[in-house]
Amino acid sequence: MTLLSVFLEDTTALLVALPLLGAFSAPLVGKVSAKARNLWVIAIMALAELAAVSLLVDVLGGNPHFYAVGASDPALPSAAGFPFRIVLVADAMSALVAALAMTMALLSVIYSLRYESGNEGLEKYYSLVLLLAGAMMGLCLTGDFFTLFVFLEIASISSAGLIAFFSSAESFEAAFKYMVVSASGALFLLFGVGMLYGQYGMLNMASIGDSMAAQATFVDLAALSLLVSALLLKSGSVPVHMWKPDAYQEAPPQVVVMLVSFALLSLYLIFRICFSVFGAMVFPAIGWTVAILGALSIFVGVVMAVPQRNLRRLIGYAAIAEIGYVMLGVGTSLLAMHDSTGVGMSSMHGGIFHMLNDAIDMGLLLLVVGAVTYATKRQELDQVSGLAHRSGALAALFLIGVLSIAGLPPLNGFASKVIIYESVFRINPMLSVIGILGSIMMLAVFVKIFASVFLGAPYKGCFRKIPRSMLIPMVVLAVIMIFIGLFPGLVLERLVFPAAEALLNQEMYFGGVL
Amino acid sequence: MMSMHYLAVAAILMIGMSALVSRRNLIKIIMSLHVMGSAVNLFLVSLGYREGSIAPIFTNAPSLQMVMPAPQALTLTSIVINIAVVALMLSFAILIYQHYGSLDPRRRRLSG
Amino acid sequence: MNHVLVTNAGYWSPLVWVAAFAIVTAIALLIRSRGEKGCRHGTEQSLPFFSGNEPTAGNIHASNLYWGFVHGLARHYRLLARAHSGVVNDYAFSLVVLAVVLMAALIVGGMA
Repeated sequence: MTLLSVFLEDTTALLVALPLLGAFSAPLVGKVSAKARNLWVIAIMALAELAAVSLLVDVLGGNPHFYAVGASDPALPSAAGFPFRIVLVADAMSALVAALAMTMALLSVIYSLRYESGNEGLEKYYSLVLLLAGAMMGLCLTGDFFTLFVFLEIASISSAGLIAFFSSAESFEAAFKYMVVSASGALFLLFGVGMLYGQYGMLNMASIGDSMAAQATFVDLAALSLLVSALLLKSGSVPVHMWKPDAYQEAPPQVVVMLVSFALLSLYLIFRICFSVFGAMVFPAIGWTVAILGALSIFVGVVMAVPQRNLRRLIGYAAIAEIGYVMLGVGTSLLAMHDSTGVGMSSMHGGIFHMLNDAIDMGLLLLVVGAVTYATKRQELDQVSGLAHRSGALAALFLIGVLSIAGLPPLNGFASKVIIYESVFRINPMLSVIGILGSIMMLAVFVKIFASVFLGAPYKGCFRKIPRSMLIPMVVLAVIMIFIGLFPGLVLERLVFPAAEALLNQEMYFGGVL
Repeated sequence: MMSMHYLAVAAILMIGMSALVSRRNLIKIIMSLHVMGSAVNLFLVSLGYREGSIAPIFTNAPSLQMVMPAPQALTLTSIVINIAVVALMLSFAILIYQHYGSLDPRRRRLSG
Repeated sequence: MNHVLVTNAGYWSPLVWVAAFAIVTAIALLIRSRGEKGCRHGTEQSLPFFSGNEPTAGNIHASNLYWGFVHGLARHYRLLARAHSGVVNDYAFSLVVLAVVLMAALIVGGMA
């Protein structure tokens, strides 16, 4: 067997293993030299990205991967008929989310090469970043509930470390708050998992879903609500969004890019649990709660973003609103799943498409904001103005991000939002109106940043030159955005339709594991 | 008899949760989280318990009436994770005390 | 071929917008080219000013923007700011509330 065929066969496991290997070896390589460590981290991340993309291409070719860790068959070593092993599942949905999270992580590592180069303790920083990337891959691919809990804890511990990385008093406060809420959320999740175990005696998602009756029992519903509330906390939806502005304000901006994809991953896990595990007994109450919480997130996020004075805190509130659009789209599809007009299907497409666009748009804006902080060493909005005179490229990149996140055509944000508006309108016009108003407010919020930071008389303070390793990730993201904006049909057809199909098709999900 | 476990779990969980939302001291908040963690661990262990059975070790077992092994493995993992979380939070509490001179969560700089 | 985005209710082509964008840019450039040629950068002429006022070197800062909006809704903003208190106990409390509300909603909606 050649190395290449091993790589292709085991991509699912390698996707989790590679970042973990990099995480624990980065401090060792760092003993040699800082340059060797940077090269090593980039090499590991590039390899993992290659694995993620090749997995996505393979899965989209109609070939979902079901990988039993440590055995050829998930049910080994006994013939009990249900899987004992840890199963990793890569279908079109999870492979898409994994590739998205990995791409954002790779860009954020490239960005941090120069951004962080003045700081101490960088080997720990890269360890934590790679640990977070590995845990996110585990979350995308996991096929059982307990592994989900473990990876969720790994991801929250490493992101708490990263939030505290700047070692200022405020960053410790933000990290402490994040840790308290995420630890209690994880306990809720574990309690819910325990309930499901008590009911079914299994931990594998597919086999639990398979043995679930059409009529939900009390324990099923209590477990579902605990799981969903814990994951809503991780994704930062209203009313458990308060940790988000704190964390986004204090974490390094390129780490926030990864936190955004972590939040989207938690939403993906909610949808996976609702559609693939509890799919047989989906009922309107889940859809209503998710959609209404989504609309509330949009409202509270944009309203609180308007008066903010700290650049990154403002983006934190905007991120809450962006999460709301995904929840609105997919929540509506939970509502109208059996609707014959296809409204449910198209709102789901909108929601999944918006996950993609949210990660990319937020990523670009955060990286530009990080570059502003890097160049001027300030992050209060009132302290900087007129930066467009100093760096036109930065202003142009930010403008692209703003137009897209506010949903202006012909950029990618519009394509997904218009699908969400149209389909939500046919279920409940009120929710759709909140979404559109939120979008307008979002434009106002980001125009405020653009007008005050980039426009005005030329900036007089010191302005460090933006290095190329920071510009490249931003330009890559902007190019992806324009591409998606010009070819929305292509992206929908190739990526989003198969992903929605994979979420809805329970037989395929069960069949691969059992 | 079996429901005794679950009553205890509910009681400990309630104690932990009420302390979590009402105590104004970072150390006590960490303690209440750990109490909640213990409640969840107790819940997991009692899920796999069977009256009058032995530890799940197959070699030379006198009977095949065993408690279920999976919840115990889960509990061990979750205990280890809890310790890591509590250690991390305590170190944050130390650092916050150094910078703020207080362990009161109301003395905060990030709000609004 | 895949330029057109087909939504459930209609369709939309980004190319129209690209064309519109090009036309608007052309008009903007046309207006700009008809502007005053004698403008000198770096002098008093390039300073921002409110009409009627003396030109000042000062900028309009972020906290000046939407002042009226925030001021008009100050009462509601005070409420929201009180909800976002930044005290960690409140964060934990909101999680407990969410779990309880969700449990009530799902159990009522699912058992019916």
